[in-house]
Amino acid sequence: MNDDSTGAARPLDDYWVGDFTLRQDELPPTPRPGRAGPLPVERLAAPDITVRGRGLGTLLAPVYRALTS
Amino acid sequence: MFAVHALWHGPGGGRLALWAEDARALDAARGPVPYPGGGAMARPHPFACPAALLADLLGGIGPGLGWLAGQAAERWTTLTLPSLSGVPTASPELLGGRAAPSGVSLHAWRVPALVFEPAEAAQLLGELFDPRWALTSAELDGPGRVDVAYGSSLRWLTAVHDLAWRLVGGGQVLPALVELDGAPYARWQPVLGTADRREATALAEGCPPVARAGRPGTVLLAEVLEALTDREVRATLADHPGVVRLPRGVGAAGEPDGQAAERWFAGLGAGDGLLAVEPGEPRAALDRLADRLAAWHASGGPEQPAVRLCFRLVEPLGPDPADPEGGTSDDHWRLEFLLQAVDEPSLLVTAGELWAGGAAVAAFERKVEDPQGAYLAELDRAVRCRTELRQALRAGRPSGLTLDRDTALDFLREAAPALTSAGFGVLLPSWWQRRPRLGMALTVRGAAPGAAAGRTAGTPPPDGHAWLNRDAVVAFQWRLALEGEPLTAEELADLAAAKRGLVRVRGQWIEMNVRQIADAVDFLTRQGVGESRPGRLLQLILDPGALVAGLPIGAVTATGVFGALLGERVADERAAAGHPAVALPAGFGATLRPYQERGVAWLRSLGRLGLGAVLADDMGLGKTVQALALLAAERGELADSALPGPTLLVCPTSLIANWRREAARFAPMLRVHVQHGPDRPTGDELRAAVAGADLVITTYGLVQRDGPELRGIAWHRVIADEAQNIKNSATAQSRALRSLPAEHRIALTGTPVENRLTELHAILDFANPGLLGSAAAFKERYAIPVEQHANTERTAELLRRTSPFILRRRKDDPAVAVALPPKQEMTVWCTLTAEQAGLYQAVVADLLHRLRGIKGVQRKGAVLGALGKLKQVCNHPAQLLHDGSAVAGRSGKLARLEEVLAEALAEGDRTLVFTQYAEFGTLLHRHLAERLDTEVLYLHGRLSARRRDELVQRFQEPGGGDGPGVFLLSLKAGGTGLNLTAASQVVHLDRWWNPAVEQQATDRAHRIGQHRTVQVRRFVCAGTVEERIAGMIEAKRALAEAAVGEGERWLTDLSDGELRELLTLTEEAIAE
Repeated sequence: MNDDSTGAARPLDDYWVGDFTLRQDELPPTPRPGRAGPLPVERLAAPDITVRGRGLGTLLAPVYRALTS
Repeated sequence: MFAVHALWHGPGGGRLALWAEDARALDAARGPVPYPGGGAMARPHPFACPAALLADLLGGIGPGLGWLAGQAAERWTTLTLPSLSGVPTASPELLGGRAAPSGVSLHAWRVPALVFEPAEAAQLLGELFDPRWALTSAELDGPGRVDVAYGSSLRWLTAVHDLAWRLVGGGQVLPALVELDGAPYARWQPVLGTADRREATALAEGCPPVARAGRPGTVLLAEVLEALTDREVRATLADHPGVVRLPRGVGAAGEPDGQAAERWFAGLGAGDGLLAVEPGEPRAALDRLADRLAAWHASGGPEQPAVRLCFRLVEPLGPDPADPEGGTSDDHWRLEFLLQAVDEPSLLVTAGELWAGGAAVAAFERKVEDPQGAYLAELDRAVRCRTELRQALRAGRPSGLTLDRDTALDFLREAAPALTSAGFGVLLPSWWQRRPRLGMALTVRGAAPGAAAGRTAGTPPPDGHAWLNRDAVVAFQWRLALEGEPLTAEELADLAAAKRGLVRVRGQWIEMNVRQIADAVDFLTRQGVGESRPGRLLQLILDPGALVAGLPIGAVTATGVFGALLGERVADERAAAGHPAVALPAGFGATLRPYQERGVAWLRSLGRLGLGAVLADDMGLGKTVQALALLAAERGELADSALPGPTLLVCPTSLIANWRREAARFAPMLRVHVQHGPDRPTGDELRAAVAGADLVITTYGLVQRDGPELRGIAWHRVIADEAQNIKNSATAQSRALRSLPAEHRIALTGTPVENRLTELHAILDFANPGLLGSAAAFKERYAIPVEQHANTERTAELLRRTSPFILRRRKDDPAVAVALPPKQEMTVWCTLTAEQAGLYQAVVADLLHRLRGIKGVQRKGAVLGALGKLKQVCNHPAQLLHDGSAVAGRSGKLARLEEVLAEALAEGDRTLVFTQYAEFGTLLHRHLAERLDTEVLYLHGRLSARRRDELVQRFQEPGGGDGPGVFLLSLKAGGTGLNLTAASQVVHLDRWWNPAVEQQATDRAHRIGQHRTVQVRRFVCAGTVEERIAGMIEAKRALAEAAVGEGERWLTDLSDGELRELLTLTEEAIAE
């Protein structure tokens, strides 16, 4: 490890700190109530993948229902 | 004080490492210890907190964190930190925000850490997410309560976790097959929308360097976000066991691609998603699966879905299925689910039919491969939009919901619009589209028996009518009404008892606000019937925004004068209807025409209702005589002791004499005091003069100047003649007039609107203060919509609201039947002399030159100035040059004027000549008198009232051919109020932009008392700006009635090119 501070105008002043803010909600954050647009998976064509003869789209439907419930 | 920091690194997508600084060890660590040279091993951090103590610290913050800490492994980790003199510098959190020392450099340090697996990491970061506070406290054995600060690195990771958590909750994930450290994993990957991407970019750019460990922020963010997203999906799936389940049936034994798909799919819901691969096992099937998944992710869906879900709300019909006796219920609404083909809306089946299979399914199989699956997918989408629909999913084959009245109303009000905007079909009962409205119905009946009071009490009306007076009250009754139809007491009681948002009244469903109904019932009980001053009721009725007990006024029924005022009939009919005729005293010096009688009756009725009036008859229809008749009638009806007090008449100075003369002529019974001139009485003398007068005449100027004194007098009535003088409510003159206390106010004007609707507001606001609201509100509600957008609805509303207070009759109105002789209007085309043309072109050239490089107010000023100069040039060069030079032979317009006047004189006609320029009038005065050998009168603004009166009398005197043949008048001083019927010729020498002003001037001659045809000539210099503006005036004349006008300021907004076209002289302009 080299000493790289020489000559620089305090280049490490911001080393500890970042420039970001935490998202604030008036209410406890909820998973996007009222969202009615298609999900990313719904914007795709039907997957050409089957598992034991069942289409992947059909198999995934309960998953997305659980995620957005 | 402890400061807790975090790192994210490690195999398989990374782990969370927490470490902390301990302020208690900070002092002991201070001291000049040289740091070893390059290549040396990293030394232990001197004031880092032991891992066990960190675990205690987390447990001291909360038991949940303590449990998580118990799941973490204690490890040493290395990181680089700013250091000075062989010691790492403390973090800002540990220093309490103090600045770090200068001259630091980065060196590697080993710190004891708690390392969390992704599942616990996600849980812990979720627990620690706190947008407001970065400081907490912990209870430790020994030290007791200590402060704990969360470092930026830790807070940054909580922010990334928050994003991951929201993405998962929104279903913004896709399953994938990825390779981490050479091993295949089934993973849930985040899918970022536009806003998410923006947020992620900001997070990556703002990542604290201490957390990055040398990696770019984008790399670290992607790594953490993917790991935490996968963990959050798995955490959710753990709460929903069975949602990732291999279908029953035969496995894909021996078929590599099928086996790979099975293993991958199972991995989406199990463990960390690692797909075990035996050493040496070929990975080709997994690679192919990864490729197909990637291709799927890259695929776009259809442009538009083939089918959509529809909702149909069906109101309760027939017997209630829950009622064993088969009674009806108002709480059995049905929300039916249907499937509809988007490109063939008539293909619409209920979910029940869809589940039954057969023809319904077959019909939709032409649109989608799996109609029932598509229906369920749409239902899933709808549930995400409106969570109250989720209960439908409890059924194995959801087909709809049963709603009670309250939930049905919620659906109508809230869910239906949201679902519609989300692209679902929504079919609602037809009555909801045009909901029957509740309102308040008002019935007003004449004066309550015995209610008349005040100074007219006991004075029987001479005409025998039971008219109202301003002190009278009217009886009123409010009732709740549905669509304007009052409800019966029984219906109202049912409504009040229902206490539900949807109620059936008269077999019709209505939406009601329960609180509003309660308020209305309370209001009706306490104030539903009573008596009121008419003015207050009228003001309420005419306000379109008025609410009574929170409800709009739905219907008004009124009789008598009150009803007549609210009628929809045309103005003059309204004036006739319901207003008792006025009996004039015997000494009144004129016989009123029928329309004038109606006008007087209308004025008196409004006065007795305590309402102001705007009499806006056309010029020449006798507003003066109607006003005098009103006063004379009052004087004749009442005994001296019952007289209502003096009326103050305010007019322009030029009309003082006219009023005095007309009062003496028509109403000699009135005691008149003229408050004018330097010797006018003041103080006690004024009060004495007023006390002995029925009519006090003064001017607008004096109202402003003598305001305090005039305000001290209790006027019965204030009449503003030529009320357009107060069209600008902001002027001191207007404010002074409004400040005069009066029981009744009348505005007389032939032009209630000269240019803008706000002028109408100013005049009406004088007559009935506050009736139309503030000027600003009026402008917003009426002036802008009517003038700028020609909004017919607002125009009609304005008419409805103002018509009770404005009576306007036109000369050409058949109801007026004024036998005025015809008026012939013509344009006299003039040419310019060579001198005029030269000057004209010089002005235009100068303007166009000056316009280069100037704009804004400066440009407008230049344009307006040049327009004025051009008009002066068209009149006469001497007017532009102001040099007192010779008059004769230099102006084409003057030459034509001489010809026209000579001809008129030869015919024995007298002529009014109007100009807007006093200087031009002065110049003409001398010249015409010499040239025409006749007496030429000149009325302008600098003359005294007495002198004006003399001039008018002189001109009106019958004198055969000996009287003055020409009367020059400045448009401003002589354009209104004067009676100059001796003239049968009118000349407008120069054009004013407002046709209404020109019209008023013409009406000095074309009015009652005129027996000859009046010829009106407008002089226009052909080929000049005058001709172009004349065309515009003609267009504007048509708009004048709609009160739309813009003065001349619009000219200043023309482009340079348009101005050039407007102003440039054409060849026909020049005579020589």
